[in-house]
Amino acid sequence: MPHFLSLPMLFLVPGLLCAGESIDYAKQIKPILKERCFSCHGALRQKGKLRLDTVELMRAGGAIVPGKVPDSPLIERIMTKGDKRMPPVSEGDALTPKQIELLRRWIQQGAKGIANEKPEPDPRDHWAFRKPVRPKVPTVKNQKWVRNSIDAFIAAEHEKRGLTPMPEAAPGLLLRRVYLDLIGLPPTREELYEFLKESANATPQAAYEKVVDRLLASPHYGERWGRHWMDVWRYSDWYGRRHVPDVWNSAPQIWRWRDWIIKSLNDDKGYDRMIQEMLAADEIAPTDDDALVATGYIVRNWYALNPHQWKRDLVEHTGKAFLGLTMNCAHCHDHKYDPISQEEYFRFRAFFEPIELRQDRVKGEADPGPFQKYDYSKLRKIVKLGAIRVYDDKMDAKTLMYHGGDERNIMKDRPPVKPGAPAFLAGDRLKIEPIAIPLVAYYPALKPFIHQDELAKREQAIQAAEVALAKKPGLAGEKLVKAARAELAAYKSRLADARAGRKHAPIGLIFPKTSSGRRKALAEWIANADNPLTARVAVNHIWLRHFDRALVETVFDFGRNGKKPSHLELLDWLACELMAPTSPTRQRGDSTNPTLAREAGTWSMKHLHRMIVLSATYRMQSSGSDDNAKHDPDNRAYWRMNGKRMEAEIVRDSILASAGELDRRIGGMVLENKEESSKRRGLYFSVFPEDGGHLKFLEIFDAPDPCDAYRRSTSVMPQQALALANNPLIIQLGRVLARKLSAKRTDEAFIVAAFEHLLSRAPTREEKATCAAFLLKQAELFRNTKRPATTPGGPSPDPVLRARESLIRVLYNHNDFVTVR
Amino acid sequence: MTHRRTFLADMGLGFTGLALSAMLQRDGVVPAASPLPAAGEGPGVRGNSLHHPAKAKSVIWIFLSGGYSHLETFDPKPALNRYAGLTFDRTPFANPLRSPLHDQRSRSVVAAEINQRDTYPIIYPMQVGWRRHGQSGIEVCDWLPHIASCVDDLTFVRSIYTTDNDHAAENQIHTGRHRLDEVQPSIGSWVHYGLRSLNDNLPSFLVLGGPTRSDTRASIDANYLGPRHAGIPLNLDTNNPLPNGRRSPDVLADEQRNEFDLINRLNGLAAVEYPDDPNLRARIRSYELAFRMQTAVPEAIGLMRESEATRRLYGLDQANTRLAGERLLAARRLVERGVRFVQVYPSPYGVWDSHRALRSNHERLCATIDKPVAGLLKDLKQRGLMDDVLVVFCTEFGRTPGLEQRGGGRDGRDHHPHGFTVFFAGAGVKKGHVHGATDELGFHALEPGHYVTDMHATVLHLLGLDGRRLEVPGRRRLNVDFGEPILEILA
Repeated sequence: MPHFLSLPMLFLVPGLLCAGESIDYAKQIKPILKERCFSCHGALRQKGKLRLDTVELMRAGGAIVPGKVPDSPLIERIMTKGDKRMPPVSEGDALTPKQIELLRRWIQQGAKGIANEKPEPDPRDHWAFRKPVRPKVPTVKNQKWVRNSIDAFIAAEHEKRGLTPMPEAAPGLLLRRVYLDLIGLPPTREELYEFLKESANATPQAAYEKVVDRLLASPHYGERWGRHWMDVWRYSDWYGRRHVPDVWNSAPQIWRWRDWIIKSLNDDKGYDRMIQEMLAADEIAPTDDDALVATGYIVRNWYALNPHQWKRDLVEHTGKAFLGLTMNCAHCHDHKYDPISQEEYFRFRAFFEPIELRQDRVKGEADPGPFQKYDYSKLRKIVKLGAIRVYDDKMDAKTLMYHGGDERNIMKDRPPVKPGAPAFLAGDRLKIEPIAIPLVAYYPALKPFIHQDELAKREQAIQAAEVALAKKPGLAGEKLVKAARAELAAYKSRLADARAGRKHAPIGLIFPKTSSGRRKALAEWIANADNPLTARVAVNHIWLRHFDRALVETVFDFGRNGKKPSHLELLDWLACELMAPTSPTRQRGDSTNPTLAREAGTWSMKHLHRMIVLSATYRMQSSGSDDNAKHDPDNRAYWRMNGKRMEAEIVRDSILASAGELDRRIGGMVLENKEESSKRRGLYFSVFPEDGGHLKFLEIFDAPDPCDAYRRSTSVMPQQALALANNPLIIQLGRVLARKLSAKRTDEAFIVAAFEHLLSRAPTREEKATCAAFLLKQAELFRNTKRPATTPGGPSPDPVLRARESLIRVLYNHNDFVTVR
Repeated sequence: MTHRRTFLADMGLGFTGLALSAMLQRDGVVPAASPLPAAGEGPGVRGNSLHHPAKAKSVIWIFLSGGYSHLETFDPKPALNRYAGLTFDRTPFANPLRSPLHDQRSRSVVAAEINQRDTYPIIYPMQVGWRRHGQSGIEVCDWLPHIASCVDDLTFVRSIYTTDNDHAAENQIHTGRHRLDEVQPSIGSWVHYGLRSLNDNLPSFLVLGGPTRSDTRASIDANYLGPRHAGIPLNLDTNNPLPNGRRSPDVLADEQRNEFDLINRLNGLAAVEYPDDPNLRARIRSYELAFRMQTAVPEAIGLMRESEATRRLYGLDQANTRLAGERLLAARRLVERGVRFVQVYPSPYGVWDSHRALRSNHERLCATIDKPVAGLLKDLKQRGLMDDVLVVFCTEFGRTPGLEQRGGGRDGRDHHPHGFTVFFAGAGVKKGHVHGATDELGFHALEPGHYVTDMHATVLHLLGLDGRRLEVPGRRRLNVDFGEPILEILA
């Protein structure tokens, strides 16, 4: 069916300009200059003391002479070849002939500008580079719709654009939404009924708040939001050469960082503290084993073959994940949009220059041995024991600048750079002081549990030798006992010497006694209320995952090349609320149960979630109205909720949970993807950027790319249909659920129960009739075919029940099942 | 609006397959012939036409993993025999190791402080003879007699280079980026992104025999284009060709058909409530395609339906050529059915990598692919498919003109990214043509030289696409990602 052959084929040739056509500066000229020239000749930088961001500045700087093309150096420079060409060869291609022709024509026509043209504002005044100030909550007409401050900001926009907010979603759908959003599992039919009952007994508001508080207190909350943050922080299990196996990237023990994320969220640890622990736990909490694994954030980027790449990834993603800054764009040259010089790129890298990895012994586990550094000729083994973490190893490590993004091309005329963050964010004045590392942290063999283990091991050896001697007396046996005793004595004496600081043969690895303090300084600068970016970037990520749309669409670029926020004041208000929660306003929605909010500490994510899901904005239905759609078809002003496809893990988790078969254990060793029949949640399976790096089922549903998942993409493709229809685990779960729901129910009651259980709503009359007809048809089909043998997990021999199994499969495939409405 | 609502509500008339698609198209709900209605799916992604007239409809991209020697296949060099055993310095030619091109064009993944890749300056002679073939008189080595008999239909490009001197170059030739750079979508996924399917029942980008290894997944991945544009690896087992593509044995065919029917009826009813949900509409279509794929895919790879003569032509009757032959024959069947891009790996991962014993290794391996590849070329020609199908034959890099001495080696060649040979055949390319060259020693691709993305640009160009116009919102691509079509080889 070669449809495309019948389509009109256009051979597009750059159109020649019509003679006499008048050139529009704003539409045709300024965009070219902005794209190709402003970064060096605008507000950001003024190379050759020239600015091209207004006609007046162009003229004053001598770049153009209106009406006189031959006297306008601008034209000469864009047309010349070689070193003098603008933009320089290093900045890419020359302007196209059409662009050049436009510029010539414009100058010829007198270089007309626009009235009151303003130069580009100072980049430091860019909205995201100024500290957020809590904006005044707007007063709106539709006050009775407003449940909390979020709604006031949203309603103000509605009123500006003539939009009417949609009504609250049906209770069942709202319940399903908030369950899936907060814990990633759907409510059961029983939970739905309980909620409806409570709503009738108390008030719907009280019932809803109770649910929200219960969900936020659930340990599954940490799993749900843990996976979101794992996306942002690029969680990846080890990779490199999986098939060998040979560990090149990340580490086999990295899952402990995942468990730290889950626990930190469940404990509602402040986001600021989380950042600090991820970047510098070894400096700020050197003896806290639970916190040290947070540096998995740094470990994840480790790359055996090239330490420069490790550092490059750390600079790029620390910039993007926490700051919404594309630091990486300043790797080869000064940043084109933001005031970040190439030197500042390298200064940022210098925070990470001294780092190295180590793997610490974990209580109750055998010694993992020393971390295997990279040796070109040796495979790196998979070590699953121990806790992997970062430490400062080379205190004098120098950061050298290089050209062209290639570490071979060192800039020989530039001295090594000192650590620092971009000056325009006051990052150049950080106080960096070396940190003394406590004894048990730099000499971990002195941790009580380790030397107790070691002593016990030696005592057991003596006992074993003594038992052997008793069984078989003799000189040889005596010698062994003696040796074992000597070994214990020697260990004890070395241990005593070690504790007293005397000279001795070490009883374990000894790491440096000081750390540079560089990462601590970096972490404190990022996780700081004075940093204008950190809180904004975080609340934007949270908002995105509740509403399926971000306030700033470019979630990792809040710089001048990023998108403007759709609701700047709301973003700032939320950022301030994250950093310093106010006691709840006495408005509906916050009032009935203020305890959680009142107790919320600074940087509390749970507080923010609670505010969001209690808002009227969040509770609207996701189906729309034609009137609103006419004004705002893309729902940019949030006049309805956005329906969204469940994430890959949530599809699988929901099917398991709805069948009552989910294994609810939290955390622990990573699961290999071949264990696909495991009933644990999706986030516990291996994720890595190689073939086999996802459960096959999850891959088909857009599982996260572990190298770039700042926001996930959603696709609809036939393989999803095949996976839902043919996956053996899902078929088996469907049968389990069909039998559970079938008990003593008529077909009609079964259909209702199945809809309520899987979609949290009752079927419409038409749906009921269609499904009833289907059940009869399937049962008839089964009656006319051979009865299946009874096998575990197989279809029911009873045609009626077997038809119901079939209906459950259909509902798993319903768009409303995989969609959060 | 009301009209559409009623329309969607009425959709639950039964599982009507193509008829339903046709209705949806007529109503303008989804673009014609697009398998899935989603923003950002070609032709040309934006606008509704190709960027220029297409010369080719489909591509068979044959990739040999490990790096075959360009010298002992399609770029033989008499100078290697003449100066065998001498160092580069002692030949009349400039020492290629001192050429500025050497460092400009290659970059090691491994940091210099960890390992520096050795260079091998002692010239290792040609390990096989060669002759001129056909009317065109193109030289081909004696290990490839069958391909040699097709030279008058081929265009060789002898000046390809890449920049990775290790096997991540296997990904690089598909994605256009060095391992230390940000990963990009693979060439097959760009084709999938830019073009509509020609067959409503089959996916448009299929992979046979790959990815060869876990870390070569990037060669078929779609990266930021999204998974629906990624290559789908097919098994040549007609019973189980696709992941999850096989109905569970205890679910009856009619049972599942009824289920799919009901799914779409119910989704159609839900569409009344959510008339503007594009995902819902896409999902309805995806179920139709899924149902049909389950029968269309096994049919497409049913090699037993081919005549004995055809099976022999591809070497299916010989043990050493069967693997390559089956994959290449399946590739022909797939492009015949309108699959846009078939990526074929006729040999297992890395086997061409001949650090040692190059002679015996290449002689054996050439024999495994020579007849099947030639069989494909002849078969396409016989069937008149050469007018529609573009064949690309390539590897990740060539092999050093110098003898690899690592670990006392005496009979092999190391990786060589600086210059190597690929060939094109079929729709839109010249016949019996050689373009570009390496220097006398077979070391550097002579200027201008073609970086691997020039191959991509050429492929896209022949398909009627301009890579620069295949934009992805929010993604900035570099010049190096686009490459330039190799205009000199176009017919």
